Amino acid sequence: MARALSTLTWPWLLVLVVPVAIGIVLGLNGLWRLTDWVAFYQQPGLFKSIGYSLLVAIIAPLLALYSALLISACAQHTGAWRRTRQWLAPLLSMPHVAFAVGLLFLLSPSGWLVRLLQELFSLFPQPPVNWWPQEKSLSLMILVLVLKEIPFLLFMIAASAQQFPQQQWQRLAATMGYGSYVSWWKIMRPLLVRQLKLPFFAVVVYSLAVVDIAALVGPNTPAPLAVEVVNWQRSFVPVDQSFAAFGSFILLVAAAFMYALVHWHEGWVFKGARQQWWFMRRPWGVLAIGLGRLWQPLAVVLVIGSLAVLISWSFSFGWYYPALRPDSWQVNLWVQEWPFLQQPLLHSLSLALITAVIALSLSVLLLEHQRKRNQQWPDWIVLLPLLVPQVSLVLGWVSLQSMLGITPRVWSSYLAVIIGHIIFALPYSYLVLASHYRNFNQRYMSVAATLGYSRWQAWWHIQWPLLRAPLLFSAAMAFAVSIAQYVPTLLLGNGRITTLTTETVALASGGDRALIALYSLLQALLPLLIFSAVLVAGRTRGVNANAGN
Amino acid sequence: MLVINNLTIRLQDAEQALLTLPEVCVKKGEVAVLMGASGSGKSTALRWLIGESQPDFDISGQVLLNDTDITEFTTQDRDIGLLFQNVLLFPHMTVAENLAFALPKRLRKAKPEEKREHVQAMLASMEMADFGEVYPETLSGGQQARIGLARALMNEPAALLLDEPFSALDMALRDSIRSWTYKLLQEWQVPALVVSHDIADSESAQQVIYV
Repeated sequence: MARALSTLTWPWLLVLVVPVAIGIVLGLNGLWRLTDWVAFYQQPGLFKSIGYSLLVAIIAPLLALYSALLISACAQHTGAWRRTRQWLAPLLSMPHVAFAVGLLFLLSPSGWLVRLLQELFSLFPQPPVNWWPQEKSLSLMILVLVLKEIPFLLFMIAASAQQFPQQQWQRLAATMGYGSYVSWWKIMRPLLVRQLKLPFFAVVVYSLAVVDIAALVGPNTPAPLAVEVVNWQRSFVPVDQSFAAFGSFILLVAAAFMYALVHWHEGWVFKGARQQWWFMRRPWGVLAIGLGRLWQPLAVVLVIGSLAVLISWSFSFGWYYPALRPDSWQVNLWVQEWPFLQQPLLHSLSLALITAVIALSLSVLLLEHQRKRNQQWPDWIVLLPLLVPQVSLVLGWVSLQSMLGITPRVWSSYLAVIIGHIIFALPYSYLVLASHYRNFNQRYMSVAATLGYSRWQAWWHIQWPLLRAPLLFSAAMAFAVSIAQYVPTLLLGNGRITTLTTETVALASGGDRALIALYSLLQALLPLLIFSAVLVAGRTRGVNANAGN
Repeated sequence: MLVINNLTIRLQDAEQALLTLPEVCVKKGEVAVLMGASGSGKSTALRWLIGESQPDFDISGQVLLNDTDITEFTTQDRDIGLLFQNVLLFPHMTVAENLAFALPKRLRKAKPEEKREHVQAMLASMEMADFGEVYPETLSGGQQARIGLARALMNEPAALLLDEPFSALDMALRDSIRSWTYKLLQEWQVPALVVSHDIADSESAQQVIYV
């Protein structure tokens, strides 16, 4: 560990840890005023709001983790697993906000599903009151988070599982009479839960402090704590700034508490590795396998359904319940909205492209530095920005800006937003690239060097073509993360930098479904187009997916 | 002629040497085999010979190639070729592209026709003239070994290092590829140092060095 903290690690840690520390310290500058504490304590719905955040942070990540493990256990070494891995890219690329809006328009009481049921069976002449999930509810928020985090965890499981001789272990277990599903669950699951501890904690922290999804589909009387924190921060009442700091502090404490729970969970899974789980027994085992295998078609239906409903709404004219399709299709909204769309679109695109290029370059530099020194940094160093509630970290940066007396101007706000996006995109870009980069056979480079090529020439002729797919995928991932950023864009941009994401969340309170669909659709299409381009451009003749390894 | 003087390899901060070689002299067309068990430092010696830095080891010694001290030369300036056990043909290049990539520096900016002629001549000398346009993954183990050696020789190296070159081949193929390789090295008058733990590799070599 001491060796890993080399010359470049320290500046890297400074870039990440110092803002976190300053954010925490500056964010808490009002904590010594007892009167503010009392006023904060008396905020209506405060404890309910904290309770919502904690509930979401416990339930959504656990459901996502165990669903991802179940899917992996059921689909391992099958064609379905290979197809699942191919589908991860477009699933990962879809921004949370667009996915949430799409799901809302699909599943809510006035959504497409209910309209379809009405059309087919005349079950709901009015939008049902006792329908699940309800619009603006904790359960819908949890559902969106679970469905959106499963692909990320599946991706991490696929990367981690490569480190174990799982096929040999399962063959061994088969000779002892275990089926592949049970043996995977008993052998691989505990090891993977340990390997995935930090990515899982990142999901927990994200669920705890998520703002955009909570604002779109979560409860609003009161809203989860992170939403309240952003509302306080953006309020013009001076005492509300202190409330934002208190809320931010509570989120940090909650994150620490959650880490303890994640740690306990890991130990519990390890101790209970040999136990027989109820869903391993028949008939539950068969049912679990069926559910696990259902995920892939379900995910495809949800993504395509979400995109379809967004497209339909954006071209709709006069679409009232219970009609399954609008009265007419028109491009009027696109034409009318185009002048207003241009700036958010330009901001989203430029920020995402700059972020992608810089995050990819930094990822390559960091991995190349470790390779040269024969080191492998611990994961927490790179994942650090994801292990702190985003709201708390960004509020710290905002406080730092005011402490340094930086007057927000358009260019400085834009620069601050770029830096914020890079910091949050880098871990994803790095994680996507790291295992491919480390597994690349450096002897290719030795051969090229003995043939008279410099390191840069060898990189261009050999490493780049062999690693083209993961390098482009890493950049695409940073692009998608940047497109999806809400809190850093809103707070670091001081409201001057409007993107498709900030506009979608802002429009959500208005209730104009067609307009929300238009912005959400564009938000979803940008990363989808980039990922499609990467799939085409990433192909190298004569190289299969793992040839560079 | 490849000469190695007083090579000592130590693990960093260790007192005892992992490997010592007082003097090794490999003449043109000769094959010397460096034999030793796993972990005896022979692969480390090979990486040092091609000029790769190795932060985990303290290494001292001198390398002379045709009377020039190349100890401080970078890998790309050493003029020493390298052939690994699993050949490592570049999978994204056709066989012809692999060979063209290895053309000596003076020919790299030549006209495409001239480069193609050189590549085709090499393929013909390997009795693989029809394999230029195929990708390495479609070649058999023996064919890959031949193209691997062709690529190393294409660069016209002043010496060649071979790291366990035949151990990935099946037993039936190993002897024939070995004899063919040694014969070709003699024809090309290249001094070659083979690192191996297979006693059969040393049987037809001119020198055997045990470490």
